Amino acid sequence: MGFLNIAGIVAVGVIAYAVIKFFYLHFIMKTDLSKYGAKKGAWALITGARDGIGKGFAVALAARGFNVILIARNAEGLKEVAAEIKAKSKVETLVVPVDASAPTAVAEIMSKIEGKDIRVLVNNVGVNTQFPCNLAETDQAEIDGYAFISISDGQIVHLSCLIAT
Amino acid sequence: MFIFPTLISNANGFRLVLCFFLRSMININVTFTTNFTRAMIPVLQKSKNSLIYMLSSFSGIVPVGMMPVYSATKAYNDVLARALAAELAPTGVTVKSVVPHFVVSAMSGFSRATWAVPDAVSFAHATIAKTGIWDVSIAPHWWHDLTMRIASAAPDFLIGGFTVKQMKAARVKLMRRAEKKAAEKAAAAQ
Repeated sequence: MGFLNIAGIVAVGVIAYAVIKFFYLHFIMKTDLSKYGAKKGAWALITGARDGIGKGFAVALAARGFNVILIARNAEGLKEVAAEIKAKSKVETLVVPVDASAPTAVAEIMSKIEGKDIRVLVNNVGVNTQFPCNLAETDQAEIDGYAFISISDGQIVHLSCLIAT
Repeated sequence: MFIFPTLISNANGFRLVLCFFLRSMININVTFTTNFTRAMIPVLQKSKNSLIYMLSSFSGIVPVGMMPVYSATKAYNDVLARALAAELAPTGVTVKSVVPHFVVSAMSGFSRATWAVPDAVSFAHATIAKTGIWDVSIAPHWWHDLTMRIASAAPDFLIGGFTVKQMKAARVKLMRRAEKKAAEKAAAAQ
C-alpha cells in the first residue's frame, strides 16, 4: 500500500470520527446524573444563579432532582429564583447572597454551606463589559476603577467612581 | 449595593459608564473562580463521584476582538477546567468546560430564543445530557459546536476580521438600546 492510500484511509477515519461523534453527542447521548446523587438528596451549587445560564442550570438541576444552593449578589432576586424552582420541583433550596468580587466572598460562602453534601458545582458567575470596546480605547479609569451605584426601587440614588491605586 | 452598568446624563447628554471594569472582570471571572474552585474541591471529594461545570465561552476558544479581556478570561476558564479534569479524574471528580455562544440572557442581550440562540434552561439540559462524553470542553448546542469547529479550523485573519466586524455592529446596537432605555427612564422620572 502506498503512502497516499494510507494517508487517505487516515483522513477518512479522522473525518468519520468527527462526524459520528458530532451526531452522537448532539442527537443521541443522554447522560443522566444519578451517578452524582440526583434524587438522592445531593446538592448542586450554582454561582451567578440570579439569571441567564446560571439560573438555567439551577432550574435544570432541580428538575433532575438536585437540591440547589443559589449564589449571586441580589438576595431578593435569588429568593424569586428559589420560589420559582420550588413551584416546579420538589427540592430544597438555599440562597447565599454574596458579591463574588468581594475579597471575603469565598470564606463567606464556605461558612454558609458547611455540612452540605454537594456533588455538583456550576462555576458560572462571570461578567463582561456592557459594550464591546477596543482595549486601546478603554480608559485607564475603566481598567483600574470601581463604580458604585446604589439603586433603590430602580432609581439611581447615588453614583461614585473610585480610582483604585 | 449593586455594581451596575449604566448611562449617566451630564451637560453633554448621555455618557456611557462601563461599570464592569476590566479589573472586576478579572477579579470575578479568573480570581474568584480559581479560589472558589480550590475551596470546593475537598468538599466535592467527600463523595465518590462529583462534577464541576466551568462556564467558558465561544470567545474563549475563538478569540474575539473588542472584548479581548473577556475572551482571555474565558480561555483561562477553559484551560483551567481541562487541566483540573486530568488532575481530579483519579479522585472521582469529573470536570467539564461548557462552551456557549449566544444564549438568552441579560449578558448576551438576546431576550428571545431562536434555533441558534437557545433559552438558558434548555441549554443547561443539553449540557447535562452531554456530561458523559470523554471530551472536557463541550459546546452543548449543535450550532455553537459546528460554528466553533469551523472558526477554529479557519485561518486567524479571516475569523479575526469577521468577529471584529460583528462586534462593531453589536456595539452600535447595544449602545442605541441602552441610550433609549436611559432616555425612557429619564422621561418617566420627570
